[in-house]
Amino acid sequence: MKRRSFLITTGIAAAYGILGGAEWGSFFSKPDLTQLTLLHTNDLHSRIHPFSEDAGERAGLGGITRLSAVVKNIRSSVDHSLLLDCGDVLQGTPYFNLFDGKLEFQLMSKMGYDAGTIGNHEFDAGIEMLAKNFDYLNFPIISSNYDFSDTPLKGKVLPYQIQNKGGIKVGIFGLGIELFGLVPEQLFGNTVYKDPILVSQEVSTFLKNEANCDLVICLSHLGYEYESSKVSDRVIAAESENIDVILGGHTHTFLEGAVTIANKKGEAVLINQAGRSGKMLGRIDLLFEKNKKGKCVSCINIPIGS
Amino acid sequence: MLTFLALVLLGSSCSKVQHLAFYESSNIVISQDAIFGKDSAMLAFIEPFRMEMEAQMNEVIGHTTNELLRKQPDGPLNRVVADIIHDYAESAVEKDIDFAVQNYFGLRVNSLPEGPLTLGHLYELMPFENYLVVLEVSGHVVQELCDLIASFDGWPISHGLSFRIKNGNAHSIMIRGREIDPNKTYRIATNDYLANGGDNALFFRDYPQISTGLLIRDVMIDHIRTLSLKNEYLMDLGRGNRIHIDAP
Repeated sequence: MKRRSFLITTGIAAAYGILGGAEWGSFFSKPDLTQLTLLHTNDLHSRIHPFSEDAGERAGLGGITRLSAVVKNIRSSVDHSLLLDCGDVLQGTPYFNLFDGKLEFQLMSKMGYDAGTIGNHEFDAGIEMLAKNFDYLNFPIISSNYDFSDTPLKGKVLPYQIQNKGGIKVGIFGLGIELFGLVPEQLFGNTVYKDPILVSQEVSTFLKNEANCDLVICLSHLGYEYESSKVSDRVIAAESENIDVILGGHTHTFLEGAVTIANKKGEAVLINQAGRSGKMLGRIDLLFEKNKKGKCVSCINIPIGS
Repeated sequence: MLTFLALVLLGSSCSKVQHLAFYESSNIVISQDAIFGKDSAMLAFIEPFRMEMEAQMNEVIGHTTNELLRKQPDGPLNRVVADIIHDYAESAVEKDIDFAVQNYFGLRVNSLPEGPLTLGHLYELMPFENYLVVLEVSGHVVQELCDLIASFDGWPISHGLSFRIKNGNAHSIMIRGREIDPNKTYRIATNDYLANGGDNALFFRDYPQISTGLLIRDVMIDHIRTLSLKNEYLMDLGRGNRIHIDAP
């Protein structure tokens, strides 16, 4: 049995406390609990090595090589984990200019990523090159609101995927940002961008209610928040009913940890983002209790706005 | 009877679901102090790529006197870059250029360091394959451009243009020492990303581009090499901010 993190243990203890431990002991066996750890990155921007010594206040930070060591260490200490990426793996160091993404994608495959989505900079060497270099990946790229059917990426990107981790059925879908006006048109070709709000509602409802997923995760490259009304992770969360977690990118937002905001039904949606360049690894530990529908002894209502 | 009971038990266990009961989240800073060690297998895999990259990118092409910072609304790196774009455009098309503009996030690092500059520094500053182009546009379009720059909190602009920002809008726009004339045609230098409507510069899409065939990064590299041949350093000439924000 691997050691659970301190807070998770405290959380369970708190739940027992509320109920009164005696009641548990007399009627039930230990609750059937599963911990699932989400590890996630965004905007790695071809940062293979940590920033060099002359990079000012960023010197020595980040980099895929160091990230990989940290990920390995955490994964060896938890029961179940998912390693996910939220786009803009490419562009930012000469490694990309020289090798067009071949190196970054091979390193991600070695790191054991479970899924990723597409950022605007993935198109920087052109969609043909991207399609070619996707062959270096050993994990799925998921995007629900880009229609690639008239492009070289046809058949190389999934609209969603369901993965089973420790008995938890996890539905994963992906959202990409409007490319027009952001990426030169000749680079993204005939990619069709679809409204991420509508698409996210449709696919998350399917994953939760028809595919009966226990957890629905959105991998987003929309950005955390904007001053304007532009669609962002916070907008997607507020307009949703069936998304549990949104892992994001694009705005290079450094959050200390996941924040919660209310969905349409007033339930909490977790949103997280981990800066850029591997300077941060996002981490969310989730605890599941297997029990009858409507009955969950260790459930703690997740406060909104935390 | 036994079969019935088994079915009931089976049914009841199947009706169990996984409830998301609790979470905690604390993101991890990947710093030098990280105690997780190195992924040596990964480093070994990267080695041939690194050697090829460094063979090309570690060449020293020039020097700076001071660290050149990218800043908003205006900063030393902004001015240095925009002025070089301006000067190269002028010699490429052999015509006067009123000013040059470059989108802020087209510069991908916060600064160029003090001391030696390598080819790698320039690739990290400007990783994109953006070409230098010249456009001839009306004062109306320049006003729209300055409002767009204001909405982004300031972009690199060359000498020849200055303005103030109030509540996200540009005013007091001066071009080569004169107030902007909405009906006059101005000749401006920029990159093809903006000229094609990137970063919502959609107003540029209607105008033909005078191409120079020069990559902006190559222009920067050439300028720094040329300075170096004359034993000169890349520096901000201290002409001061070109974009000012009014106090609220």
